[in-house]
Amino acid sequence: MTSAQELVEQMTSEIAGANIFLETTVSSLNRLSNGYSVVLSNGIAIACRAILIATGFHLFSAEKKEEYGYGVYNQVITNRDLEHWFNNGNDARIDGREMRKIGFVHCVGSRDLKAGNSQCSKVCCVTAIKQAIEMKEKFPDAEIYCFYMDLRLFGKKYEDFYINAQKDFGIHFIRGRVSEVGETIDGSLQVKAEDTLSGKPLKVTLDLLVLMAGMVCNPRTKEIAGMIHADIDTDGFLRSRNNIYNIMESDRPGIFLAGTCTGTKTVPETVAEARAAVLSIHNYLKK
Amino acid sequence: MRPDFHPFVIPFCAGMFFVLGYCFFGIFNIIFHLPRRDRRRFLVSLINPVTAWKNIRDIFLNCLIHVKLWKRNPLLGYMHSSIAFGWFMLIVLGHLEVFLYAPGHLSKFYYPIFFNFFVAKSEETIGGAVLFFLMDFFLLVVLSGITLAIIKRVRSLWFGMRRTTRPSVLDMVGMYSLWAIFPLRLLAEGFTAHISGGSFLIIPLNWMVRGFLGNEINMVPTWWAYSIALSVFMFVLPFTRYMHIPAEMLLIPLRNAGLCIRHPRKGFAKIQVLSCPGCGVCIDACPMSAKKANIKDTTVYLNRQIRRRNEKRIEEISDKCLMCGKCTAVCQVGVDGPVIRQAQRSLRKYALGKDYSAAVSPTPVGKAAVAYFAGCMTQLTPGISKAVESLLKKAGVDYTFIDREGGLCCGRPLMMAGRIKEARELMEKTREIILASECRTLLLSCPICYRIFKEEYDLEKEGIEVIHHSVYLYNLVQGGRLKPSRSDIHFVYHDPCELGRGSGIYEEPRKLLRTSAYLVEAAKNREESVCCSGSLGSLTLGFADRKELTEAALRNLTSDIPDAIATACPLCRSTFRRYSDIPVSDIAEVIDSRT
Amino acid sequence: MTDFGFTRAKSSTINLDNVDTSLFRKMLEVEPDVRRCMECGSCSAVCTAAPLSGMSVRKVIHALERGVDIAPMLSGCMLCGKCTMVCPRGINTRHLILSLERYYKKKENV
Repeated sequence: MTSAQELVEQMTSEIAGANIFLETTVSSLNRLSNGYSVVLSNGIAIACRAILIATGFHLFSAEKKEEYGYGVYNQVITNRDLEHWFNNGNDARIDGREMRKIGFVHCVGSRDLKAGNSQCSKVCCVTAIKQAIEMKEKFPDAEIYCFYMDLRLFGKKYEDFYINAQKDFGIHFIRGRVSEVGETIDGSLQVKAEDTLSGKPLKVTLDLLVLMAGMVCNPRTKEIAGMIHADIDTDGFLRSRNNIYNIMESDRPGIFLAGTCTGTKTVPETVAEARAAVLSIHNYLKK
Repeated sequence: MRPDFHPFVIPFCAGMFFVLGYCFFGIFNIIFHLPRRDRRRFLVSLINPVTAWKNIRDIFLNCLIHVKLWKRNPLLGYMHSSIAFGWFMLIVLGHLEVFLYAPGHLSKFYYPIFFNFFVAKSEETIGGAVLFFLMDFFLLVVLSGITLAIIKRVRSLWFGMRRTTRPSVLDMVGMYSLWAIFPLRLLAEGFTAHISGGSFLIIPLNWMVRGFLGNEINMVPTWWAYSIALSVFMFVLPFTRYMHIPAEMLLIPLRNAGLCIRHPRKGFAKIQVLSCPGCGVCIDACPMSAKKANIKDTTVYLNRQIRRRNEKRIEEISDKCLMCGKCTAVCQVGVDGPVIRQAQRSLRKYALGKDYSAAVSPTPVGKAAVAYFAGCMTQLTPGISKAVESLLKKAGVDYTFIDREGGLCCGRPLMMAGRIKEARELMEKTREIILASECRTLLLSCPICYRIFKEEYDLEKEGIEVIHHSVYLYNLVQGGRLKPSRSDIHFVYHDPCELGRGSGIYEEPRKLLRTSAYLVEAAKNREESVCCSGSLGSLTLGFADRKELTEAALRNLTSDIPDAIATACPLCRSTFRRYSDIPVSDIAEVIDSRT
Repeated sequence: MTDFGFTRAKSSTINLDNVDTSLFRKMLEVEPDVRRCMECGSCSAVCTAAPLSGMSVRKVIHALERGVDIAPMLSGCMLCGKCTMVCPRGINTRHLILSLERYYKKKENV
């Protein structure tokens, strides 16, 4: 597996000539006759002909699905927390505790009209499988359950990954959405779901519950969209000129879009889209 | 002496006979349809001096003076009491005049109404100048009220009403005839004032009309017109919203007798419906009115449709309601919208019945002095039950969590859906679980549960105190068993419908909140707090239909720019959290974080 | 008919060519949102009546669409509203249940 850190380092080294401002926000963005003026929070003003918006996504705040008890129960963490633990290796909620049963809840804040997000976040299914495998490697004796509604493993070799998880790691897949998390009298975590395939309610006590929080549009994206009067689509993300063949262009001249500011995407999709956007900008500047 | 009969009194007499006959028949009908126990209770209350005095006082203060309306909006109060009380005084003084100056005619009941036509002024009547003055004075009062009423039709906003009802055709006929009665009376008395006498109002008018219009030819026609206006008003009265005038006079003693609705259309329900004055105060109050499409689903329209027996609309309106009770809180007459609706819902026939005979608690019930029953809604908001448990532990309370791993429903949702029989069956089962815990205190987090446990379970009889956690925690703080520290956060407290209007608990949650934070108030609060719209009361409002209503409730809550919202109901908390920009917590979570 | 001493078991196949979906169509009228159900099972997981009568709104909707009888499940429902609270598709499940109980007609050959 390629680490994200290496990937980012490789890509930034490719654009070594560019000015990169980190920890900086856009204070204002104004239309000029032939381009835009951008004022940054560090005081620098830039006049440019084209802008590429690549503001990314925000992780759905899992507290909002209060029936899962994130922030209430100590044994409930999110996909981000777990990834953080994989990288940094310290989290009081995991360290030093016995892990016999671990649950993963797919679609937390995704495909959920009540949470205000109707979209599928695309990456959670494969991420859950990846994290489940990693946990199984770390805790070989643990039983791991993935609670899913549909498994959407459409990317290259994703399905192979799923077969691996089933065959080599013995991860259990349960078709049913977890919808209540409680505590038993001895303080252990109990989750309830329906095993929809057998048509029976199901409960299981767990040592760790990982919530696969989905993607929502970055609220800062909406602020930037407001500055240039760009449209927000009905799904809450930025609107592209055309969702099928022109997803990296907006309706405004000189404003280009890439990545998850226009919707949920996987990393390969984002990379491909970014390259397409850069090419479009190149053609636009030549005009 | 002038003649003591003229044909123009005939329309008035006919109207009077009609309306009196109708009312007597109506009273008989309503009392007849009361269940026997209720009827006995009512009749006994009439001769009990305490309730009898209360009846007289309430009728005087509410029907004539409109005290509640004065408190709400003095201009509206004046408008209504000027017409009602002014007219009442005209009738009383009219009878007094007849009694003093023409006692022989007291049996002719049109005589006091048309006194000025029949009695010429004499030495004797002149001696009663004070009466003449009072008659003119009250006529002026009524006329001022009518003027306001006309203005209100055009500019209802001046009277603090954003929206008002659209009158039906008959309502219009009634309204115009009511408006016509008093100017016509003024004119008629103006024409006769030189014969029959008068005071500051009609004497000068008499000079004017005699000077400009001549007299004899106009005199009789205006008296005819006055009589006809009265007659039209009385003939249409039973079929218009003005029926509330006689109906309210029966509603008050029935209510004071402590009756409740037993049949959805007859008896007490019928008098409630008839007592609706159609003023439309409930339209602005109703949380559903935040969406224009729901305006016709407010209580005033429900009452109108029940009177018209429009079953399809009755069902729609009854099923949509959130049952928050705000219409009842603002209603001047005290028509109980949710209770009427619940009764309509109970009319429905279901092809499939319920069977709770096998229901048992999924949680083993422990025994302790305090039994904590979280309820269905709190099971989905573990933050609340966890905070309550944490506080109970901190205060060292001996408790058992009787539905930790699931329980039964309290029965209130079934009750609100009008399925009373099924609700009672379920309540029996839930009652067994409560009693099995051998507790002395039943602690609840959900106001929906709290209300029904308090009102319907009769647990006090078993020596069990039913208490909501907002009150219980306040008592613990008062007793020094919990010592929350103060923060700088400004909370606004949202009164949940079932806890506030439903159970009258307003003070304790506020006092509790003040022990650990600053408190600001919502634009409309306490009795008039706006329902979060997550209520289980509504049967038909879907998820998408409720969004706008919740947003309107949030705007009301945050008018004073609080830092966070606190409430005491798991359903309100979840509903607000969905759309709020600022944090929403249960009061137990607030206290727990500061203890 | 000749008695052969045994009976043939009724086929358990759902024959879509021959199912009575009148109740389902009636439900689409009163609560069109039932179409949105993605059978996640949230409603069944939280259901207070599930241990009592095997209640599951998901199964009810599923059976309804396939023309299968649903009556026994409904009898334990307490209308508590938990299923409505958790439904990610915002289906008004309580109204659905009330309407089903109201418009239900017993099928003769079930």
